[in-house]
Amino acid sequence: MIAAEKQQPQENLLEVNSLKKYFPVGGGGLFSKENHYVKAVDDISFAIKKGETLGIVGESGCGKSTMGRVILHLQAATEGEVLFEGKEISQFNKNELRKLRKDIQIIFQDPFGSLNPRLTVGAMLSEIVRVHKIVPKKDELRYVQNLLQDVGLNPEHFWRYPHEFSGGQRQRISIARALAVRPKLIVCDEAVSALDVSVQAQVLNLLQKLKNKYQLTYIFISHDLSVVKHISDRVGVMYLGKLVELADKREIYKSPRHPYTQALFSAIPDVSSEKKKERIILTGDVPSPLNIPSGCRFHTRCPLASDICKSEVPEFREKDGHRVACHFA
Amino acid sequence: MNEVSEKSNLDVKNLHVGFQTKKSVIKILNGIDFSVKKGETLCIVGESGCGKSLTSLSIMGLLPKTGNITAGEILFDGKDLAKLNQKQLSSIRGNEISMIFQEPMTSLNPVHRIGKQITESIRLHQKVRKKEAEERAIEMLRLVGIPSPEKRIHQYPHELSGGMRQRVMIAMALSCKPKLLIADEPTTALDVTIQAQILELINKLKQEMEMSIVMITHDLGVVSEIADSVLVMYAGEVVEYSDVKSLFRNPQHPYTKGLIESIPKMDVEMAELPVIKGSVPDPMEMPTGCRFSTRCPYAQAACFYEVPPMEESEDSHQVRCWMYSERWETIEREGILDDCSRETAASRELIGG
Amino acid sequence: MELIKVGGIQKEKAISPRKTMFKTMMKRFFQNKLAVVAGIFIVILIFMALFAPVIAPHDPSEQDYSKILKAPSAEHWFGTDEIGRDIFSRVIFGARVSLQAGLISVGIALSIGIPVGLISGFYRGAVDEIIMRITDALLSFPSLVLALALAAVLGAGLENAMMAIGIVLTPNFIRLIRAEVLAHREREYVEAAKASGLRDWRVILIHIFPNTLAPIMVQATLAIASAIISEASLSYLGLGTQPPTPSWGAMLSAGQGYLSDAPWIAICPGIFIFLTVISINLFGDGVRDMLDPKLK
Repeated sequence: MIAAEKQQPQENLLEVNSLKKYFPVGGGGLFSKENHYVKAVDDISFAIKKGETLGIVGESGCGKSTMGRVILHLQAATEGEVLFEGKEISQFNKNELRKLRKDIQIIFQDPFGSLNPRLTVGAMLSEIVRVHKIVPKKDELRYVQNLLQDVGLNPEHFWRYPHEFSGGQRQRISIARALAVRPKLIVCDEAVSALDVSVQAQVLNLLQKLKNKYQLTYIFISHDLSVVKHISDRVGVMYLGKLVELADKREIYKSPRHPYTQALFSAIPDVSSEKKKERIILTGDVPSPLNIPSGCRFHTRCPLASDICKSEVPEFREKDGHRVACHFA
Repeated sequence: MNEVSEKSNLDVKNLHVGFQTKKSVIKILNGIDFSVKKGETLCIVGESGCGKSLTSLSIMGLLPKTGNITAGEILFDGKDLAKLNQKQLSSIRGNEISMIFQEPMTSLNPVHRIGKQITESIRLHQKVRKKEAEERAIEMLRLVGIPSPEKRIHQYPHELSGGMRQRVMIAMALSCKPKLLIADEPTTALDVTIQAQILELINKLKQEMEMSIVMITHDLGVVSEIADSVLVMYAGEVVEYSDVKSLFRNPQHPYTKGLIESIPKMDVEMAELPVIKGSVPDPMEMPTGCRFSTRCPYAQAACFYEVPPMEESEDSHQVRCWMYSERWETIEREGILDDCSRETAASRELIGG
Repeated sequence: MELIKVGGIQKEKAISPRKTMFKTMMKRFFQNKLAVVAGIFIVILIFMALFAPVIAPHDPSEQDYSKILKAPSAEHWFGTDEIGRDIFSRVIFGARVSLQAGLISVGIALSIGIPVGLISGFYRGAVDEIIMRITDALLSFPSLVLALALAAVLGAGLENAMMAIGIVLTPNFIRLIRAEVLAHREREYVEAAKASGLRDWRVILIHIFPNTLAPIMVQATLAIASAIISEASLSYLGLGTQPPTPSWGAMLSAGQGYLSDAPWIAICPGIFIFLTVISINLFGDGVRDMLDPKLK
């Protein structure tokens, strides 16, 4: 793995450098001069190669979804840069941005909220195809119907409304929408989290199949570690707006180095092993992103925390392709 | 498993629930049987729409207005809850039987301090003075692991985090020392690290308070952590009922097998996940035979038009599947014969995805 | 896969889907019996208004002092008023004014309110802030006073009264539409539409606007009712329809003085106002259901 990387440094499809997204809160008010920020994404850097699946895990409120939206430029970054195929997307003008929308797509979590209830599936998909002039007008119907078959639906579903579908089928429609523009990168934001396990497995298999068929690259955001592990090549772990660990999936699941990652892995109930695992039960809750602890942000819950953790922010260091932000790793 | 009913705390027998629509009654639950012993945790698992939440609502007498228990008994401490009126039920609810819901934010009243909410629920069922109730509330909050409960009782729900709110809900549910706790997806809205805390807490409290728990969940991982016995439901019916070890060691119903297999495993790598084809049938269009027949990889002709009986396949392990009956050999030999079943078999292919 | 030929799906294939869509829409509308009845009544009203001179048995402004305040009879179906005019004929002619007043002023309100509300809600920021302060200011006046002031500035007459009423109704629509847009713009399907690279106007018109229709429809039908009444008030104060042209509102207010002696003067136009408003309401409900794909 490492040897291969050194041998041929493959081209990065997407590069994220010191990305920050702060949301102002409260607007200062009349009496407080201070501005408060929710630091949803705070200094994140990573790169993703063509054809790779990068999994991002973290608990709710860790900023993983915000990060996805900033990468798509649905929200502007506060600082830092996002390079897609070497080009900085925040500098894009309207036309370039529209072209970017063709290259990067997103699949949302909620299979009920992410489809317009007033449009038939066909109308919604054809509209996108038409706007981006993917195929000539006469081929539109066939193209969209092929697309529906690609995601495991019937061509007849073209004329149906979203409410006529089950959750799993709706998620397939969302996938078809993302696929319609022939994107290079798809951000899956909790794309299977709202589905029942049996349907979830169907959709995961579908995503895998489509990836191979269309040479897609995924950023797969989820809170579910077993799902992320199944689908990803590399996995990043986020905590309170920061990446705390990033490594090849086998490596990270075999020997997690950050105490948060360790706790996270030990917390998953696992059906496959009969013996109860040694549990690391974290004390306390995730601190509010409004009030981020000094130093290492995990020190309030960390079993290993010492004085240095309270005062110094640990660097995101790399060792053998395994990056981790902890003073003790 | 049914003989133990004297010792059991809750005994549900042949429960049928239907919903009244303009034209007809839609049957949602079709003959649910199970019992929960004192100090036992029963998990009801199944995918959305299989009727697991409805089962718990029937026990609590909280069915929506159009829903009715059309047959069956719910025996709790010898009383048939299905026959009690709302007034009698409400004296049991929150007192002897408590419930925790999935979404802790919506289940707490946002305009009252949490202390007040707990003391009120205590005083509603037990004649204690305000002061005593408050002391009990503090004690309960401490029991569920909330730090400095004396201060917390003066806070409002929005000032607490999701995990803390769920703890408050649990404290409230346990404040009257119920004999039975019904927990409907209590950890689904929580993060894994918090979920681990809450499951640990529920297990600890169960031992301390000697109560029975009926836990509803779709997460088999949670089941393996907390259950003593498991009830697997599919499309309004019980398809497998077993103790937890036996279920995970030797799942028998094709649906249970499919469910367990389709979860990505942490320690095995697979290129493709095994799946159950299709989705849960609509209650208006239930298959006539075995309800799982339309998605079952082993289904034979008989499965499509004859309802399999619930059979004891091994000690304390029941399953509703023709494969475990004496007739299976005949069924398999004869295969698909008549036109009716062939058509059903064909439409099965349509649903497959 | 050969097996696919069996079962329900093949049947669906046979029907042309576009036709079915229109058919199901019609079916949905005709399922709502009340809406159908209301629709028929509205058609009758429009017919009445268009062909008033043919239908009306008397000249609406012909005064007959021998028949003052006569109760309903075979000759005068709805009776006569204080100067002997036939009320039935006046109601028929009044439909012209009242329907115009209701529909046109609401039309004016909608044509300003919809685009402004959509833009205000979708883009937020400074534009929204300015628009909202203006609507606040307009809403802070009692609506009749504002309509009076506007009508006075524009001058008396039906057209100007309709204009004034339309302007007074507009802020409500702006507020309502903006609120609906705000509720929908954060929905994931709108975000998904943006992420698909659609231009803003497409997102607004195709993805947001249709989802805001239901409350707009309800508000509009209610506004038609209040517009008819407002026109009456303005007429009463001499700023709307000029006498002797009959309007239901004007008749209603004129009849007030005779309620104990000759109740039919007020009751007859009153019933028509009531029926019109309720019909428009029910019809609006029917249209809303028709456009809602969730209903079968």
